[in-house]
Amino acid sequence: MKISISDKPVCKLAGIVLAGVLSACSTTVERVTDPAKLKGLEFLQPGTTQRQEVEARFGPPFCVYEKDRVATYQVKPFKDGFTTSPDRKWYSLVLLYRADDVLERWSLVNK
Amino acid sequence: MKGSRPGILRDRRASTWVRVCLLGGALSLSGCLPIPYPPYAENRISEETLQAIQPRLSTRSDVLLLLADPTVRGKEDAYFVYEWMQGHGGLIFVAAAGYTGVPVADVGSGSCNRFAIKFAPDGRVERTRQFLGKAKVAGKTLLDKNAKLIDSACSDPDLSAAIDAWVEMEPGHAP
Repeated sequence: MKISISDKPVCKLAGIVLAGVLSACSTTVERVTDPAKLKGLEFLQPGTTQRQEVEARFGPPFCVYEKDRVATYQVKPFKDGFTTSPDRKWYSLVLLYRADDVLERWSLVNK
Repeated sequence: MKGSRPGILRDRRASTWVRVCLLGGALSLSGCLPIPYPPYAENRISEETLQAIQPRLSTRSDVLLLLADPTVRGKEDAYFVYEWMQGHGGLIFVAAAGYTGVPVADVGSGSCNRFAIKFAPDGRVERTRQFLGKAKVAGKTLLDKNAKLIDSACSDPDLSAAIDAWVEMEPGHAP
C-alpha cells in the first residue's frame, strides 16, 4: 500500500506550521499609489470635492489636526470601495482641506 | 552604588534568558514543537519616507499625508511620535491537536523604535530624530487572549524619557 507523505500527521502539522511561518510578514507605513488599491476613492477630487461630501460617506473623522484642516479616517476595503473601520486599522485616509472646505490634497496610507 | 548597575542588568538579562530557556525546555518536553520564526517589522517607516521629511521645508500636513496619525501627539501638536516594532525572531511553540497544531506560546526578542518630529510654531518641521530601542526578550501565552505580554518591548521608560528630553531642547541645542 502506498502511503503519501502528506498523510502523516507530523507532516501535516509541519506543513501548517511552515505555512504560518512563511505568512509572517512585515508591514511598512507607506502611501498607497497603486490605482487598483485606490478604486472606490475616485470621488476625492482636489479642488472640487467638498468636506460635506466626504462626511456624508464616511461620517465624522477619526482625528482632526490643524484646526480641522486635516481630517483622518481609518478605512478598510468594502465591496467596490471603502468603509470606515473603527475596530481595526487597515488604511488611514488623510484629507487636507482648504479654508473654504474644499479638498486640497489627500492620501491613503498603509499602516 | 556606583558600578553595581551593569551587574544588576547583566543578572536580570541572564535571569530572563534562564526563564525563557526553562519555559522553552518545559514546552519542548511536554510535546510542544518549537518552530523558529524570522525577523519582522511592524509599521516600519522606510528610509525613503524618512528622507522625504525635510526640516524647515515640510509642514505638519505633509507629515500627516505621508505617515497618517501619530502614535503620540504632543501638546498643541508641537511634536508627533511614530512608533514601530522590530522583531528579531523567536520561537512559536505548537502543540499537536489531532491532525493539526495549536500555537500555545511565543517567545522572541524585539525592540520598539520611535521616530519623533518636532514642529516650529509656524507648523513646519523643526527637527526629527529616530530613537532605536534596546532589544528585549518577550514571551506570551497564546491560549489566554487576556494574558499580558511579559516584558513588552514597547514599554520602554528610558526611550520615553529620552524623547521627552529631546522635545524640550531649545532649537540649536538638539543633536
